[in-house]
Amino acid sequence: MTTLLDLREVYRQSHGKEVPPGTLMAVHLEIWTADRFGKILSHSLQPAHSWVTQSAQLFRNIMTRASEANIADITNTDRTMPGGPATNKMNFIAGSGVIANGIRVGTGTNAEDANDFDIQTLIADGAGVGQLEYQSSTVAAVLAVTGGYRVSVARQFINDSAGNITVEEVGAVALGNDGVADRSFLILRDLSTFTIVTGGGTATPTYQFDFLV
Amino acid sequence: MSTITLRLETEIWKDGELVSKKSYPVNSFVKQMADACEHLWSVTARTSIDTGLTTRTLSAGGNQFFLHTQATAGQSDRGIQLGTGTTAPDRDDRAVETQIVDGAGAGQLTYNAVVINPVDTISTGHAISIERQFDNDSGGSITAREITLLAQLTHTGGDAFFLLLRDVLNEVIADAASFIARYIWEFLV
Repeated sequence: MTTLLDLREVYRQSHGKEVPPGTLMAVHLEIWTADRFGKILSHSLQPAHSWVTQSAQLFRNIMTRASEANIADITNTDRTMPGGPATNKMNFIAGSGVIANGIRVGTGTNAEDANDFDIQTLIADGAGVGQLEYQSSTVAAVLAVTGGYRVSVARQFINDSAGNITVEEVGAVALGNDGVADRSFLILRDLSTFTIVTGGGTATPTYQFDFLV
Repeated sequence: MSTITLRLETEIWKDGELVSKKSYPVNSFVKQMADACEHLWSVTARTSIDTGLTTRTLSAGGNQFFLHTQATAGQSDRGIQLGTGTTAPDRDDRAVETQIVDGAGAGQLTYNAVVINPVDTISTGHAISIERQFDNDSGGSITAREITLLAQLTHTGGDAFFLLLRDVLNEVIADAASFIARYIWEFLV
C-alpha cells in the first residue's frame, strides 16, 4: 500500500464519484491472496456494504452509558449490554485460532442485509478440507494520511488443506461483555470479490475505516 | 453504502414557535475520533490528546469509558458544546475555541441534558441522533459560532474529555429563545 495515501482519492476510485458532503467515515474491504511461496496472486479493493444493526446498537450503548437491549449476537440470541464501563465493548482483537471475534470468512453468498447477525456459512479454523487457519486479528494504529485518518482491522488466513478454498463472504465480529460473559456481535458483513485461496496459500482481508476530514 | 454519514440539524424556538430550522452536512471529525475508535476496537494502550491539551494513554484493559457522550443538565464538558470561536475547523483541533459556558449570566447559555435517541431504522440502514437544547436566559442575544461533540474516555490516570467533532455555525439565539442542536449519524448498509 502506498504511503502517499489520499483517502478522498481512494473513495473516488472505489466508488466512481466524489465523497458526498457529510460522509464522515468510509469503509473499504481490501483482500490480498498469495501462493505458498508468498507470491501475490490477487488484490481487490471494494467499498464495504455492511454496517449491520448491531453496529448502531453498540455505538449507542457506548455513547449513552445506558443499557441497550435486543442486540443479536452471532447465535441470534438477543443480549442486553449494560450501561456501565467495561473492558470489552467492541473489540476486534483476537489471537490465532480464535474465531469468536475479529475477521471471519465464509462461503455464503446471500446479499448483505442490515439484519445479518453472523457470517452465513463459516469456514472453520483448521487444516482440514475446506478449513482455513485463522491467524491473529489485529487493529493497526491510527494512520494520518491526506484527507483524514485510517484505522485498519486485518487478519491472515492460511490454507493448509490440500485443495483450493473460495472465500465468498467476510465479516467483522466484535467482542462485547454483557456482564455475564463476552458475547460476539457481527458489525460488518460483505460479499467478497471472488477470492480463491490456493493450497498452502494465504488470504488477508483488511477492513479499512477511513475517517474523512 | 459502506459509510457513516453525519448531518447537523438546528432549531431555534421562541415563545413556543419554531423560528429557524437548518440542516448542515458535517465534515469535521478530528484525530481523537480515530484514536477513540482504534482504542474501542483494540482495547490496547493508545495515546490521544484531551481537551486540556494533555497527552493521555488510553487504558489497555479494565472497566472503562470508550465514547461516552451523554451529559446531564449543566454538564458542559461532555456531549454537545457551543462556542464563539470562528477559526475554521482543523483535523488537529483539540477543544472548542471559545466556549459559551453554562449559566444564565451575560453571554451564557443554559445547557440541558444530552439526549441520545433510540436506534432508528431507516431505508438505508440505521440512525442515531444526539441532541441538546440550550436556553438563553441571559437577557441578551448570543451568537453561537462553533459547535463541538466531546466524549469521556478512560486513560491510565483516570478519565478525561476528548473532542470528536468541531464545526462552525452562525446562529443568533435571542434572549428567552431555545436552540436545539441535533447530530444525526447514519450507518449505511
